[in-house]
Amino acid sequence: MTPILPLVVLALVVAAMLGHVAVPAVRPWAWKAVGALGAVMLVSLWYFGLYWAPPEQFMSDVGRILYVHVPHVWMALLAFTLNVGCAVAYLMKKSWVTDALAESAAEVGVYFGAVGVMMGSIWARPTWGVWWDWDPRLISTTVMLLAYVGYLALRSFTEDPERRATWSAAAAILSYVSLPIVWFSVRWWNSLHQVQSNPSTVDKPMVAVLRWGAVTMLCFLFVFIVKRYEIARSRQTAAMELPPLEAPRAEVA
Amino acid sequence: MKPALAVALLLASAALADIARPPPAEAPPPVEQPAPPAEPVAAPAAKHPEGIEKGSAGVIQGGWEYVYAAYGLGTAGVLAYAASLFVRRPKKSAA
Repeated sequence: MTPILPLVVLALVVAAMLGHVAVPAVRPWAWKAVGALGAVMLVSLWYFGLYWAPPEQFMSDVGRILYVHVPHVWMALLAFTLNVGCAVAYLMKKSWVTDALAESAAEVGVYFGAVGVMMGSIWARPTWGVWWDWDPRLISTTVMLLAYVGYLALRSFTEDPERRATWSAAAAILSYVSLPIVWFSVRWWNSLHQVQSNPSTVDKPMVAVLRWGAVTMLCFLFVFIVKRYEIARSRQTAAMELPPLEAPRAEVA
Repeated sequence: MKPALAVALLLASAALADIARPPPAEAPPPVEQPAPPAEPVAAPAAKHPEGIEKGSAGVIQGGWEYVYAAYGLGTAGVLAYAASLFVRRPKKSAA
């Protein structure tokens, strides 16, 4: 596998995603096709990551964890970026679509972020000798995840759909402040966590497998957000159809 | 009687002479020669609590159980979250 192959697959996945958004006719099957592709890529990621890729220079085989850990965290950052984009869009023009999409992106982002942090902990044990260290990158990531858990909690505690959408949009913008802190924490502070790599400093087969893992997780990110969006829209519709919880005071009198 | 007395005196004088004899001079302490320079011995690598070792070049050996755990967690997470979305899927209305 060359580093170009994952980019070709990425182009196909992005085309399917854009088709899903722009062409209603492809929506019934686009997510299924991307999901099936993701399943095949996940199985092949086991082969590429565990067998095909060479061992890392210092971490040796433990470095193979990075092919699943890094894509998970990337997908979390991508989902949170979609969340804040939808939040800003909602505040500019109120729409239940952007509100539902923001909710689904936040939940899927928390899922990918939590799994990514757990994988990082598994990697840290043989590499650093500890499961967890109060390092700037780890602290900022934890704060970011807690902020989005708080965002989801705020949504579940607010009954009025319009108020929930407005408040959570503001909370989403506030939560997003943590993202650049997470990204640059390894450069701003003396961190045990290594700084970001780039293809010029990483062996080509490793770049290829890392990209393969990222595209695999992108497939699942897309499918998860599509299905979670349907749930959010269904709940919105049900909330609109419900009668008010209690009659206005004037009517009671 | 005289010979016996002479023998006794002879023995006594010999004994006294032995006691009075100065102790033999001690051999001079050996001059300590500087030890030849020892061959440099590499310090043993720190033992990881779970048996993972770093070789002399600082390369981690082993740790496959962590690798499998991470890949297993990723796959199980995808399956579990997909299952949770399936369980929460919107019910189709009868109408």
